[in-house]
Amino acid sequence: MTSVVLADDEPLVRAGVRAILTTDPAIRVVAEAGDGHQAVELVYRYRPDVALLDIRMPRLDGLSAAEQIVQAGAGTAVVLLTTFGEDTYIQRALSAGASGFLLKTGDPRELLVAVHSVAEGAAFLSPRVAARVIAALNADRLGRAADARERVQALSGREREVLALLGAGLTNAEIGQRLFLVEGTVKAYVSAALARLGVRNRVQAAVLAFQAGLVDGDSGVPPP
Amino acid sequence: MRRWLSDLLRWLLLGLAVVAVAVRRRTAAPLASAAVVMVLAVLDAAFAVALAYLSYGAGRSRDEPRSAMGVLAGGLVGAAVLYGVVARDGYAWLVATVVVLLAGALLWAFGRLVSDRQELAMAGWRRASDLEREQQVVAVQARLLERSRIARDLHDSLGHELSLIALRAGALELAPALAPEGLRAARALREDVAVAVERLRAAVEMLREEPAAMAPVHEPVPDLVERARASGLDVDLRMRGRPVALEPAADLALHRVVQEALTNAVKHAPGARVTVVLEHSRERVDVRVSNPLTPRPGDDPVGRGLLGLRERLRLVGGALHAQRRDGCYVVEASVPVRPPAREGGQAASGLPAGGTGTSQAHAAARRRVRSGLLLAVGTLCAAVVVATAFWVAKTHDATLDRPTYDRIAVGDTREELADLLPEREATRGWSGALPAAAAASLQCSFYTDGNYPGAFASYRLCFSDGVLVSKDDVRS
Repeated sequence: MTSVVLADDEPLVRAGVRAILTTDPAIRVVAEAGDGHQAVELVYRYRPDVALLDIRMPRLDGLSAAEQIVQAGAGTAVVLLTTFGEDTYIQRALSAGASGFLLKTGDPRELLVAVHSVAEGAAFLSPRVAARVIAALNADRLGRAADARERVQALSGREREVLALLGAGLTNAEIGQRLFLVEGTVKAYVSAALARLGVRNRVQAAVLAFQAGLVDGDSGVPPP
Repeated sequence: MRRWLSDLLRWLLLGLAVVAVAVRRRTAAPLASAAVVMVLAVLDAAFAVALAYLSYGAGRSRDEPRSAMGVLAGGLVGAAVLYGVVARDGYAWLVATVVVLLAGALLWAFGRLVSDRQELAMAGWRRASDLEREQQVVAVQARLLERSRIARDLHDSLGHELSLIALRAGALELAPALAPEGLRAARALREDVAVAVERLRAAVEMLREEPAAMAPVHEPVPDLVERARASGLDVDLRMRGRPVALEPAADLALHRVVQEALTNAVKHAPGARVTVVLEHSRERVDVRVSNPLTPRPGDDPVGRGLLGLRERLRLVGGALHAQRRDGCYVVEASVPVRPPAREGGQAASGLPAGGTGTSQAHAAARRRVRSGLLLAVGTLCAAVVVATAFWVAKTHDATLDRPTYDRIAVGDTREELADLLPEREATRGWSGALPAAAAASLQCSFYTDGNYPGAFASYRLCFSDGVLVSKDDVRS
C-alpha cells in the first residue's frame, strides 16, 4: 500500500486527482492540504510514501514545500503535479530534489505509475516534461561547447596543441616530451594560452579544452 | 486746406506706390530693395515711409547681419554720389543721409528683434507640442502593455480551468463501468484538452515579462496582502461588508491594482505602514491602498503601471484614482459587481478628439495676437475717423482759404466781406487759447484755414465800427 498526501488549493482539483488515485487499490490518500504550509505539516505528521503537490498555492508554494519536505529527509518522495510545465518550474523542482514532475493534462495511468515508481525510489517525468528537460540539457551543453570552441579559436595552432595535452592532464614536462619542446617553452605557451582564454589557472583551461572538444578521442590527440 | 491735404495725400501716394512695387521684390531681395529705397529717400522725404517699411521687412526676413552692413554702406555711398550730382546744400545732405540711415538701420534692427521673438515663440510652441506627443505615446504604450498583461492573465486562468477538465476526463478514462467507446472518447477528450493547455502555456510564456508566478491564479486580495506581509511589508488589511464573487476579469483587475500599489509603496515609501481597505457591497467592490509619503521632489503621481491599470479597470466598467492626499499617497479602485452593458464596438481609448491641449492653446494664443493686432489697427483707424469727423465738423462753413484771405483788404466793411467770410469762426488757437486782439477796443474775428485735424485759428481780422482795421496771420 502506497500512502499519498495530496496538496492543491482548489478542492475540485483535489477531488479529480483523488478520483484517479482511488482507481488503484494499492494507493491510499491519507490526507489533503490546501496550501504548501499545510502540506509540509501533514507530511511531517503522516510520513507518507509520496507527497503529490501543486505548484501555485497560497501561503507556501509547491516548490518551496518540496524543498522543505526533501530537506527533512524523512523519505517522502515528492511529485509535482501542475498545469503548465514551465522550464523554470521544472528546473527548480529537480534541483529541489523532487522525484517526479507531471502535468494535470497527462495520462491518468502515468500518474499511477509515477506514484508507484517514486515510492520505490525511481524518478518519473511525464513525456512532455522529459522532452523539455532533454532539450534544456542539450541546449546547455551545446551552448557551452560553442562558446568554448569560439574562445579556443583565438589561440595559435601551437597553443592549441599545448592546451589539448593540458586538458588531458599532462604536466609541462610531459607536454614538452610529446611536442619535442623545452619545458620553458611549454610554460610560455601555457601562460600565453591562459591569458588569451581569459582563465585564471590550468584547471579552468582544461575544462575549457574539454568543452571545446579538444580532449576526446576524435581530436586526434591520443590519451597518455 | 488743400495744401495740407495735398501734402498728406502726396506722402501717402508716394509711399504706397513705392511699397507696392517693392513688396513684389521684398521677399526676393529685401535688403537690395531697402538699399534702393534708402537712396531715393535721401532725395524725397516721402520715401521715408517706404524706407521704414522695407527696412523693417528686411530685418524680419532674417538676412545675415553682414550683408545688412554692406547694404547700408552701399546706400551711403550711393546717396553721396547722387547728392554730388544733384548738388544740394552739404549740411542738408548730411542731415538727410544720417536720418535716412538711422531710419533704415534702426528699423532693420527692430525687424530683427521682432523676427527673433517670433522664432523663440515658435520654438516654444513646438517644444510644448513635442512634449505633449511624448506623453501621449507613453500613455498609449502603458495601455497596450496592460492589454498584453490582461491577455496573459486570461490565458493563465483558462489553462487552469482546462486542466481541471482534463483531470475529470482522466478519471473517466479509468472508470470501470464505462464501455470501451466511452473510454476512448474520454481519452481523446483529455488529449485534445492537453494540446489546448500546451498552446496556452506557450502564449503565457510569450506574453510574460516577469518570472513564473508562484501564487495561485485566482489569488484573493487578502492572500496577496498576507504574502506581502510575509515578505516583510508592514501592511494592515481592513475588510468591510460580506465578500461577493466577482467576474474573473474584475477580480484580476482589483488584484493587480493592489499588487501595483503595494509594489509602489515598497519602492517609494520603504518602511512606511500601508493600509489596505477592501469594501464589498451589493453593487460594487472598492479597494483603497494608502501609505504616508516620504517627501520626494517631482514624483510622477500616476506611474506607468497605474496608467495601464486604469485601462484594465475601464474595460471592466470600473475606475481608478491615484493622488496625494493629506501627506499620503492614496490609490482607489472600484469595480461593479455586474459588468455594465458594452456599447457595440467599444474602441480602444485613443487620442482625445478635437486636437491636443497644446495645439488648442496655440490656436487660442494666435487668435489673441490677431485680435490684439486688429484692436490696435482698429483703434488707429477709429482715431483717424474721429479726428477727421471733428475736422469736418470744425471746418464746414468755417474755412477761410489763403486766396480769399489775400483778397481781403484793410478798410473793407463787414457788409462787403459778408460773402467772403465763413459763417463760423475758429474757437481755438495754435497754442490753445485764441490770440489776443490787436488792440483793446477792436472786435476781432478768428478764422481757420482748414488745417487738419485741429482746424486752429490761422487768421485774425479786427474791425472797428464795422471796418476792417487789421488782418494778421496768427499761426505762430
